[in-house]
Amino acid sequence: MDTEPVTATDEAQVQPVPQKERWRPGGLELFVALLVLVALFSTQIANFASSYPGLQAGTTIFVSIVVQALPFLALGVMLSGIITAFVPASFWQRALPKNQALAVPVACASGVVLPGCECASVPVSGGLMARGVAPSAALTFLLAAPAINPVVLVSTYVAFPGQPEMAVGRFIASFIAAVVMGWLWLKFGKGEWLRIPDRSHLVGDNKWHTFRLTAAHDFLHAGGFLVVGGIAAAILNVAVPPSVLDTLASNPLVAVLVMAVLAVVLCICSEADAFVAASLTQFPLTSRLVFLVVGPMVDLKLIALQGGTFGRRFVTRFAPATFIVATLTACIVGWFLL
Amino acid sequence: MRRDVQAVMLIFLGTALVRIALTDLYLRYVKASMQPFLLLTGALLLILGVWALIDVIRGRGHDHDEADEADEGAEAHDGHNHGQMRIAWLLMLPVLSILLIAPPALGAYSAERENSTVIAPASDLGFDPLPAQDPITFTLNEYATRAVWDNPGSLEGRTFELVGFVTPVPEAKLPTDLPAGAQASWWLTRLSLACCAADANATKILAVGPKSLPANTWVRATGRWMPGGGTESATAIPWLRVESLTQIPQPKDPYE
Repeated sequence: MDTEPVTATDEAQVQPVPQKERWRPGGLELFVALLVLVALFSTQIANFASSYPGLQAGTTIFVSIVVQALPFLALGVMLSGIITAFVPASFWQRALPKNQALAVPVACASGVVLPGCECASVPVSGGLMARGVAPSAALTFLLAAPAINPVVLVSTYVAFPGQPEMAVGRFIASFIAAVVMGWLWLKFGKGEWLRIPDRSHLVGDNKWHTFRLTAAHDFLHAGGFLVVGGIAAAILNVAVPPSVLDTLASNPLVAVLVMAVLAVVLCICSEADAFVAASLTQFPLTSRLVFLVVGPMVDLKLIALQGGTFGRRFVTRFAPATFIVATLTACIVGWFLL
Repeated sequence: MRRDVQAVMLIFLGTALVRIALTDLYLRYVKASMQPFLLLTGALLLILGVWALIDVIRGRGHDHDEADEADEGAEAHDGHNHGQMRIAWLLMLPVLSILLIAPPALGAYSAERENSTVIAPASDLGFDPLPAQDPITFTLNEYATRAVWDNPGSLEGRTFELVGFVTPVPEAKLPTDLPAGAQASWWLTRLSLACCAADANATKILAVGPKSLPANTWVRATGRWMPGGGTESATAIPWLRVESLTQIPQPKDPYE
């Protein structure tokens, strides 16, 4: 409406008009508007939050989860960018066994080398799939990497002084659960459930350009889902009073279920969850092993990240199945080992 | 989310991380050991963002063919990813809360809800002898671990200097076996992080003697060990007979 008189009166301004139409408000303008609004009212917002200590603690926990996870997300995104831009697809065909059933345990074992927590492994396995690695192998890697890398195992060993069997049990149970999930996907998984990340629009003029496009895209995309998971975890962290747990810890079966659910809702980094498990002294050891095996494989933050990367149809099947497999495996291993 | 907004978002997020890492604000959220990683990540995001912004500006500013190509690319990208990339807008939340609000470190609210956990020492070799200094400067965790897990009375007769904040004790949790005449209404408290604030663990020590103080007041307390609060249990809350109390500003690292 506004543009019409301009085009009618001034020929010289015809050129910029189509560009102006493409300039939909809602992009940079919205960004700046939000920034200005919050800057203007930051004192009021801070005061409002401080009059509700629960809200304030929740905000701190939210920021804390995001700040803690961003470096690991960045690490995963860099690796994913390197895999996409610099490692030729043929490398993976040579590196992994042709037989997909065999490729699963190999992928699982290679999870040992990614020294990050779960936020890093989602973009990496997305990058692997986009490079033609079989989904079963990439998904096994996704589950195994955050649970069995040396940093996590050492922190588990440190958190349970005098009980090295916790670190051993964690390694064995996580390894088995990841391999079982890979095989289950191979046998029952349908390709249509999985939205393999399409990266054709991220191919740049040269390798560095591709790397930049992939890294920026993956980071912003996964970061958004990380925020979703962080909000959910912060709300639950504030909403569930820890004293409720004491009454639930006495029955071993209930304890296992409670710890499995806690692992999902608390969204604690796999590098730190051992210390939390160690401090939940009222729970039996097997249920704490369940916590350590389930946490890095299924939690709210991961469900959001996986749903964002691989699609909703995928995550509604994959996450519950992983939850059940991880819980059962940890129980069985705990039964024999602890 | 359009490419120019993506670039700006990356720059803001990078700025936020670098800012908290350089100003000690990060200690409210994560452990000190994260500082180099936060700086690296912040720098990386800044580089990615500036690089993307230069691309956007160059694509617009150049001659016709190139500009067209770049715009087409941007549109295909937008069309393809419209729903997918909208999620990245949520990153505004951490950006705004870090840069403009910077929520405070966890305090009395979280400490009261958390059960105090005094983890048993790693080795069975027993504790080192107490340091010779007087008063002994201990972290709350050092005091609590010895009070709960060392031989009873090993702290007897010594003076300790501890730093923590005030967490009012709820009526129901006040011990009933305080010696006659003694009063106690708050815990001397410190939170510790294993990784981030989502896993904060509280160490509490019952301050016996002083009058009540408002929650979250930071104090340096000097006092003597007194029996009570339980031993050999991870949930025990040891006691301290407070002799002097100084109000102090919040330490640089609010966690232990």
